[in-house]
Amino acid sequence: MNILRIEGLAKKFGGVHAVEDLTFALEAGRIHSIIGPNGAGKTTLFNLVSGVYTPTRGRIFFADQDVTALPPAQRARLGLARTFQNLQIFFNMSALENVMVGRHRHLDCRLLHSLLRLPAIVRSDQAARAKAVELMRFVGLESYIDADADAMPYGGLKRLEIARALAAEPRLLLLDEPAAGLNPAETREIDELIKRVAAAGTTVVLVEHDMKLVMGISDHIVVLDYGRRLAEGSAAEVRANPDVIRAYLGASAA
Amino acid sequence: MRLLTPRMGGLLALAVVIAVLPAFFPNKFYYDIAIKTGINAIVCIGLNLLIGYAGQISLGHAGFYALGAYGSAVLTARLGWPGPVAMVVGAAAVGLLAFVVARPILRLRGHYLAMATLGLGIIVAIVINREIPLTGGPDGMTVPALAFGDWRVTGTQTWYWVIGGAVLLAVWLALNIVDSGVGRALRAVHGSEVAAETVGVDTTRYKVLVFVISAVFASLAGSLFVHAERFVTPVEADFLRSLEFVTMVVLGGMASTFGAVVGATILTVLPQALAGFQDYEHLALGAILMGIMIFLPKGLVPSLAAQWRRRR
Amino acid sequence: MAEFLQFLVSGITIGSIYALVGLGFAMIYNASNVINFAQGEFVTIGGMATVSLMAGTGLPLILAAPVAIMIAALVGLALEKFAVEPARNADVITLIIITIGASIFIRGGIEVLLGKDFHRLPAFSGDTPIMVGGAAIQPQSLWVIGALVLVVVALRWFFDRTRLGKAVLATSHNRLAAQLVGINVRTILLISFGLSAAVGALAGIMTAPITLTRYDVGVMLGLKGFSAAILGGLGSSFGAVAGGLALGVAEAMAAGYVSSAYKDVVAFIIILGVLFFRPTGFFGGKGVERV
Repeated sequence: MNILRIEGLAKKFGGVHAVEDLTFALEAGRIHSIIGPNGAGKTTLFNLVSGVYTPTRGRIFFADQDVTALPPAQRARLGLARTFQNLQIFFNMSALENVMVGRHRHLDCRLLHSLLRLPAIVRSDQAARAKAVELMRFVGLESYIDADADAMPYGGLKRLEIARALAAEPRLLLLDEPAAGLNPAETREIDELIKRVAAAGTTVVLVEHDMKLVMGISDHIVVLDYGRRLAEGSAAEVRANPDVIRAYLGASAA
Repeated sequence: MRLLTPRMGGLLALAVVIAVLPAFFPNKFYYDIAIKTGINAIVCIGLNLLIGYAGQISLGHAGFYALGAYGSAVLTARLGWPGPVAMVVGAAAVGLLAFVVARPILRLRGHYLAMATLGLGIIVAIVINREIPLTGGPDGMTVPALAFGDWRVTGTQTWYWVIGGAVLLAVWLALNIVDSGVGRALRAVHGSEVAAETVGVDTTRYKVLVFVISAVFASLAGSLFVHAERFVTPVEADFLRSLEFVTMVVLGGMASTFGAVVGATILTVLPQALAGFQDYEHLALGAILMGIMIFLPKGLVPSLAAQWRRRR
Repeated sequence: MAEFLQFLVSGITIGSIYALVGLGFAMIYNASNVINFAQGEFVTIGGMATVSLMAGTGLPLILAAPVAIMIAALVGLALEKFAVEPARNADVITLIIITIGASIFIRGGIEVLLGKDFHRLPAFSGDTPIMVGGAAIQPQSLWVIGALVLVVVALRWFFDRTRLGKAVLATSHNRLAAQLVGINVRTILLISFGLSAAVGALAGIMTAPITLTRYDVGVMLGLKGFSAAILGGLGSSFGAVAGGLALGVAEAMAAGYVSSAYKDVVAFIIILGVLFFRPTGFFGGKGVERV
């Protein structure tokens, strides 16, 4: 089943064609990567898929449902989650609360019940809290369970965002440069984490520059260049593709 | 759970303070100040949800307050409606108005939002001032007592207990909202609207929601005010009144319900304590606003709480 | 016809004041992205300081006015240095509240120093109205409109012809780039605040003979000037001028033909309309948020 299908997607910013005539499909249950030189349109693509940007042209299908016209919150409710290249952590909350917000679509949010703190709300909250603790353990943040978000180190925050995204129990998880700014040891941990997430059944799509990470983990890679699809295939196929090598790889393949 | 204790403790402490305070009142004047403090506190508790938790701004909240006030005044004095009914109907009407203007207004950010709320507040103030046959204009109007059937709520002391109870109720409701999925969604909107959307929070809906809730709090406070004081003038709709409310929230602490109460208390009691310095009121208010926002932008209560946590 | 002309002139006159105040908002916003809610207070300082100087020291208007303008400019500089600069990196809401606090503070200061009474400045060239097409035009109106024209021409020359002016423009387009080419952004900020204050004070002096002056005239004028700036599009200095004139005329027409009691409401309804339907105003640009 194709969890994500893009057809003829295009996005213009004034005179800049960030994404142009993009078409590809991603199979469910696999780990996919989107790579390409800087400015290739990778983060724009993520923003289009998650609904932050509106496409100039083209359509987006999530699990065969046309979501092109849906706002981000509704796509999230269908099972789409993401992290951000420039962390978008809720610094005005604790680490645990950040993850609990991720659980929003599973929470009881009835106003009157919340105002009066009826038992159903208390139960829903306790369940959310328990799940959040579990998720923080899953991503390796046990020691920060009682911490405030603004007291955490950069590497921890990247994992916190992943925990928040996972809290929604998404079918598709978009990770925007999860290894950016991390040292080799931390990158290895992210590598492990992504494998665990995929093993649990979520389809993962990465945008990443760290080629070692990408080549090692991906079942399927899409290469973008100047907003267009340059090549697609397994890690081995992409690595050997002369167009890709010419446009991008240089000496960075492991 | 861990979070329950500070909250219940805080509410209990407030209840104790309210119960014990009158023992220290030498005369009726003090009861009156306490009543005014409580009413301001109720407005600020609601406004704090909007400004402190959801990260929006309103420079026109006195408009909602005055609409609640004059709504009750006009319905009871001119149309003979029973007080409680007028109060509820007024709050519902204000809530509806807030709902209608919220959507277009909350699409705006920062200074545009500030300006729009300000404009609304001023329009309300002007209308109240001009519609003399209805509102008595700048001279104000008298208001009948609040009556539940045969029981007329009169007397400063009685009103102290009524307002005290109302404040406790308002604090309880606000604390419940904050510590729930709804409250966290609101704080997420403040933290990062983009991220909130991507976890499924309909940010517009929540902004409208908190705007309406804060307007209803203000309206109910306004209704209580006119029945307690038995008189109302358009000064309650003034731009400066809106700024007073904002100052109270900002001073006491944004994103802190108890902070809102503290801020309201300080800024209601202080001018009375410095009665001889009436002329310096503006100077002091302006200095406080600037000082707090420059040096203690989180406000008194959260800053003190942070200091406390760091010492442990 | 005479009536229409009367309202038109009246509208352009008060619109010129709004335009000058709006210019002040736009200049500061362009340089620092801050909406200076204290802008209206500079108008008050202009009028009140001139009155006090003339009454207290016997200075003639021709000398008192420039001194008042300089006082206002100094207050503007102090505002930037002591209230805005320390909170440079704070979020928008915080900055808004700071400038509001500053406006209340300045107003309180004027109240304490100069009292709560209304004051009047004598009209610069007499009170005899000039008859044009059946309409009676106050000579002071011509002074006001003249002041606007003068300021617009002077600013245009400043921005186009002087290095400093170009530096201010550069800072407003791209602050980082301006810093990188060696422009001292701190100084630019101070200059913008000082200039804004001076322009505001000039407006206050020009209008004092017509509308009287008092410690709190700045509030409404500030709000309407801000409306003018939004109407024209916050990024555009000269849009603010167009916005102010449009606002003044609309207000005068409404006051004349509909109801003068609700004249202030007109201004705010227009503003709400603009904010709801076209928040970028007539000449403003649109921004895109990068995530």
